[in-house]
Formats: sequence, structure tokens, C-alpha cells
Amino acid sequence: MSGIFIEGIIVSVLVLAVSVYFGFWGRKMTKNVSDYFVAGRSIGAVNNGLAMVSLSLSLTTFLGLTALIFHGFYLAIALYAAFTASFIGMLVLAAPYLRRHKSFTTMAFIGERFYSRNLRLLSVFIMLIVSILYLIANIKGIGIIFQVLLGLPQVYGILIGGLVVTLYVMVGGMYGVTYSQSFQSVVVLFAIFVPIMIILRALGADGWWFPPLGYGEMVPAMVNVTPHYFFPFIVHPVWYVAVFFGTFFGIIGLPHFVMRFFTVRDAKEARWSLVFCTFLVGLINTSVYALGFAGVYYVASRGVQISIADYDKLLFILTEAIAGNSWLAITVGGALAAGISTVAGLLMIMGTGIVHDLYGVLRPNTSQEKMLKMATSVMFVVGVLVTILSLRPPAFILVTIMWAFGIAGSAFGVPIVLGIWWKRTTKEGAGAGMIIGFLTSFIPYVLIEIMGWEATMISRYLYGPLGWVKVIAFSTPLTFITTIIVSWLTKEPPAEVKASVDVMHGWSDYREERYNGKLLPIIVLVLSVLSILSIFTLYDIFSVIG
Amino acid sequence: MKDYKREIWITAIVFTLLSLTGGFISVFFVLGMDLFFGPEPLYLSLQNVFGMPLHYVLLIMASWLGATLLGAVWALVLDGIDSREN
Repeated sequence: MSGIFIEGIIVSVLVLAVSVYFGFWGRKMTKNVSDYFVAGRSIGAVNNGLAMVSLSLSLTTFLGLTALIFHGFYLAIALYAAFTASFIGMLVLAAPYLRRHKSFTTMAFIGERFYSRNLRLLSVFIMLIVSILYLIANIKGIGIIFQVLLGLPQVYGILIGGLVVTLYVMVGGMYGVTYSQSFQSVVVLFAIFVPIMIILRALGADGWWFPPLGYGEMVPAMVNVTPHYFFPFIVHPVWYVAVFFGTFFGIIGLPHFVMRFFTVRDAKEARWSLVFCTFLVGLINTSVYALGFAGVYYVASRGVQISIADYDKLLFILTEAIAGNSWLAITVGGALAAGISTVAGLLMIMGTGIVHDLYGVLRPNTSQEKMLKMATSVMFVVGVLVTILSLRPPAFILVTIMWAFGIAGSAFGVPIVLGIWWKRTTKEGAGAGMIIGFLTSFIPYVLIEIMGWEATMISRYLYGPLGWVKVIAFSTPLTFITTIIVSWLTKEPPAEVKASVDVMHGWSDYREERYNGKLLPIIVLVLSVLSILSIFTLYDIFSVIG
Repeated sequence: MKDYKREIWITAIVFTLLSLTGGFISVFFVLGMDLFFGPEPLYLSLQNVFGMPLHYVLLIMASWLGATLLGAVWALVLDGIDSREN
């Protein structure tokens, strides 16, 4: 695409305008701090599920994933498959229990469950690190849309995208964010699913009407071009274990996902919103896999060349070539919707964390009215600061987001899960685990992504494609081991804290023996040790293949 | 069985099945590479569903529909436990 794309700009402006409208609409519904931070806990399952769809389908769905698939990366499929299933993992291990806890944020939950103001403050710090990583990657994506697809300089996209989202988050709070995310989900679903069907049909796929399984005819072309496409053993099996930990515990640990469960009416709505979300996210992800095949088939059958640098824009290239400019404009609008919805969720948690969990803890006697005014101001300042930070974004969007998952999984996911399912988890255990988990995942990130080290310079076992992912197979189990052992060695939690665990599980009375056994922590310890040991086994076989 | 133990067992079983759908399924393909793959590209003709290799279809469908179904079953069971408690 060369020059300024007027139709794309029109659709993009519409998406931004409607999102801002929901922000001001949300303002009218906001009467107090609870409304601003968690939409008064009034959101239903369908609305929450839709909001989670756009929150999770970021720009990588439109940009990064197709590049990985086109490169012939089975690993990308495995990664997104784990990500899809991880929503149900969050449902099973965390969502309804967190809803019953009546916190506003992950950080508040950690502070209250582990009866520690210091841990709550530490959580705010970790949340800011994780959120900044996730957020600047997404704002960069918005800049790419503006530059490549709309023909405008990237910096315009970063500034416009960042500041428009800041506006409607600041004004509308969680009501504005929720309803705009629901709208953005509808746009994303339409903008990605329909063009894929059109593309598959035009290329002669019999199953075009069901993209997740509709591209079988294109498999021979893919195998001809990339024979290793379907081979999962180009990496050591522990890579898949690491992806499991990173996605299943990372999604529980990412505060902007968890915050959605504090907005729903009750535990039942929390459960069903996740089932609904998983179905839709899976539908989109499995359809996007078809695009990589369509791209290869298109190149092979039509003799068209797509440069390596353009692989990540495959959806837009095929849409323009096959479906036309009108559909391209809608797809660009969908990509923008995906980007800004994720940014909005992240801004919301960052602002809430600073006001509710940092300032609110240091100045607990602040009035609700003052908190509300502060929330608006802080959202504005945070939004502007991260927009400025995003002017120097990371090189690879998807890689940065994967690191954010890994760090969140170790530092937050583990204490949250143990805090819900094991009464014996103490503040010392959680604190030690959080620190160990954060350091063992964040330090490798700094060494590899910022200082440019090769992963094998940290450990020879981090060899192979995306070898650094195996760090998560070490840091998450190590966090479990640390938390459990230190908890056993320290004084058990106070009675009221143990009682809160029963409340989270829906019990109206308290019994000491519930969620207080030894079998669960022992099983978790054994599995954690086995996970870590598996990094070092089969090395001779897989280092040769990798 | 006490309700809380039932809750823990159901959760553990569902989570184990879920971890297979979303995380460990590919591990089995890797560890059983001779069983699943054999001499390439033989696996494409011997085991395929709608033209796609069986292990690929298993991965994408299990992680999507399989996980969604598991989640729905778990949610229904927990809704039942909650309503009995209330």
C-alpha cells in the first residue's frame, strides 16, 4: 500500500470516535470510585466475555502471528493454541474465586490475601513493569498501522493512538473501557473473520465457510514450500512445557486480564464470560492460521512475490489483492480496534494500581471523592508518559508480549493460584516466591532483549528457535517451590485470612481442614522439580535437531 | 465425598485435561515422533483430517473446542455446587 489510504483513515477515525463516545457515555454512569475502577461490579457474562476478546486479541493477531506462520513456524500454532486454552485455565483456577474476594485489582488481592502492605506495594512495581512491556509493544503496533497501512508517519499513530485511548479511559473509567472493548470486539471479529472467508473462497478452498478447518487443499503447497511446517520436534519438548507455564499462569498473572473479573456481577457471570471469550478467541485464532496457508498458496498459484519484510502484513496484502479496498479499510479498522482495546485495559490497570494500591495504601484516609478526582488525573499522566515511552518501542511486538506473560506468570500467577487453593500460603512464602519469580524471568529479559545477549550465553540449554522461552520452564516451577517451602517454614496465616479462602470458594462457614492439606503442595512440588529437571534431559537428542 | 473435596478433584481433573489440550499435547507428538511421523512426508497421507495432519488438527481443535467444552462442563458443575450451597 503506497500513499495515504483515505478509506482506511475514515474507518479508523470512526473506530476511534465511537470508542471516545463510549468513554463519555461511561462517564455518565460513573458515580463513585467503585464505578470508576470496576464498573460498579455490574457487568454481565456476555459483555465481559466480549470485552475480554478484544483485550486478548491484540495487534499481534493481525500482524505478528501471520509472519510466524508464513515462516513455517509450528511453534506459533502451539503458542496460540496454549494461549486459547489458557483462558479456561484461568477460569478453573482463579476467576470466580477472585471475584468473590471483592478486591479491585491483583495487587489488592495480594495485599489482602497475604496480609502485607509491603507485598501490595511490591506488586504495584511488578505490575508497572509487566504492563509497560505489554503496552509499548501494542502502541508500537498502532504506529505501524498508521505508517504502513494508512500512509502516515509511525509517530502520528503512536501519539494519536496513545492519546485517544488515554482520553476515553481517563473520562469513562471502567464503564467506558468495558463498553468500548465490547464494541471493539465486534469490529475485530467482523474485520478478521469475513475477509478470511472471502480470501479462502477466492483461492478455491471448499471449506471457506469454516476457516478453522477450511484450508486442507492448501496443505500440499505449504509442505512443498516449507517441508518442516508441521514438525513440532524442531525444539526440545520442554519448550512446550514452558509455553504451558507462560500462558496458563501468565494469563492469571497479567493484572489487566484479572481486573475484568472484578467487574462482573458474581462468580457465575465470571465463569461464563470466560467460556464465551474462549470460544470466540479460539474461533479467531484458528481462522488466522488459515491465512498463512492462504498466503503460501497465493504466492505459489499466482506467481506473486511477497517480501520477507511484508510477511507480517499478510492479512492486509491478501485482503487488498482479493477482497478489495473497502474490505481492507474494515480490516485496518479492526486491527486498530484490537490495538487500542488492549492499550485501554493496560492503562486502566496501571492508573488503578497507582491510585488505589499505591496512593490509597500510603494515604488510607483519602476521601472517595478525592480518589475519584485523582484517578482521572493519574490516568491522564500515565497515558501521556507511556505514549512518550512508546516512541522508542521494542523491535519485536510478539516477543515482548511473550516475555510479559512469562514474568507475570512467575511473579503473580503462582502466588495468586496458591493463595486461592492452599490456605497455608504465607506472606513470607508469597513474597519470596514473587521476588524469585520476578528476578529469574526479568533478568534474562534484560540480558537477552535489552543487552542483546544470545540466550545460550545465559545457559547452553536455552538453544534452538525461541530458546529463551525455556526460561519460563525454570522460573515458574522455581516460584512454586520457593513459595511452598518458605510457607511451610513460616508461621501460618492469621485465622481471618484463612477464613477468606473459604469465602472465595463460596462457603458461608469456616472449616480449618478445607484447602489446607499436604497432598496438593507435595504434588505441586514434585511436578515443579520434574519440570525443571526436564530442561536438562534429552539434551543430546534435541540440541542436534534444534 | 465432602463438597470441597469434590470441588478440588473436579478442578484437578479438568485442569489436567486442559493442560493436555493447551500445553502438553505437542510434547506427546515430540516424544513419540517415530510413532506419529515416521519417514516424511508419509504422515500426511496416512493420518489426515480434511487434508491436514492429524496431530495438527488435534492441537488446534483440542485447544479451542476441547478447552471450551471442558470449561463449560466445569462451569455447569460449579454452578450446581454453588446452588446446593445456597
